[in-house]
Amino acid sequence: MKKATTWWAAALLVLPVILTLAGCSSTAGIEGSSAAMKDAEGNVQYSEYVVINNPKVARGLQIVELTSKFVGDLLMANIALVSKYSDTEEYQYQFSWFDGDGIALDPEAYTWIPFIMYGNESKTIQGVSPNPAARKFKINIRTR
Amino acid sequence: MQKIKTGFPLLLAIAALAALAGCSTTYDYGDAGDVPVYDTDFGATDLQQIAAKMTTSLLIFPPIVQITNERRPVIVVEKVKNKTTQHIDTESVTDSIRTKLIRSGKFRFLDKSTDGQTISEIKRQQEQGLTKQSQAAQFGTQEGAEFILTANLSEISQKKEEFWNKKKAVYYKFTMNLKNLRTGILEWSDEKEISKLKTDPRFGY
Repeated sequence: MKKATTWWAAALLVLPVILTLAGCSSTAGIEGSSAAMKDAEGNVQYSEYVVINNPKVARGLQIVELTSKFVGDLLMANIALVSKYSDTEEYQYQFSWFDGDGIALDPEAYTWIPFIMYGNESKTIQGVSPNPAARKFKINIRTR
Repeated sequence: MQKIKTGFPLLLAIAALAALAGCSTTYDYGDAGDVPVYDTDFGATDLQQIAAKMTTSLLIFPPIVQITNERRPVIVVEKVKNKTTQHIDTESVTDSIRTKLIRSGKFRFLDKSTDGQTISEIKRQQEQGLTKQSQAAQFGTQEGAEFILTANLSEISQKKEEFWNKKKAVYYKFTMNLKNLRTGILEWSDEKEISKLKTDPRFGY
């Protein structure tokens, strides 16, 4: 009788903790970045990198390709994604834009845009710089 | 045995207190760039998605790129035709699109909503005798718009009742057009579709 009552009490104590933790999930995700810089001869050189801040997101979603090009004088970003899960997953992305000195352009205007990836789907996300000063972009992707 | 009897209600009370600890009203700042979705009504995230899509589409459309490489065309924005059943501040949608386009440095805009104030200010400058006449704004000198930006927002709503759930699906379509006022030609058009789903369980919450 004593043992059973103690178990009940322990369960009641642990339950609120579990309920509280159930709503906690990491807001970190994966980050892709690409820069388009002109060299001394005026040719545009592109560099790309991907940072994984949340391995759980990276297990389900992969940045396959990061490309950028100038449309007129605006920098256009093209990100190819592929889902590694067979289920439907919901994500959000946010573009950030930087000039040649690495100064963020219009950082207050960055918004998170929701998108859905169906099982093993490949998808392309596009963005255009807010003004012609942009030379580098960053995309952050996280789960919703 | 007596110890257990008094200890158990105490533990129960602690657990209840712990569970109820978060039940008071709280106020906080949120992220304007990540507004939560609580229902299927048209919301801030929808507005931001539409503004982002329309701005991107217009800025990279090849004939528009060609035009904006040569000059900064003047655009006038018409109010969005709201064909939904909701009361939506559609002006804030066009305001967001206009702001993004102005900040791109590619377009200039006329603001019809401040025409009243503009007229009274020009009258004041000309009639009160306070402004140097060489610097006073004149009637009939403003730029004329080359393009007009028009838009429609429509909605299709569907409901389905199941044994366990009540489901609601709302589809929004935002269509935007750029028309050349001098030639009457529609130079650009694009759509943004948004689908929102709501599932209400009949039992539980």
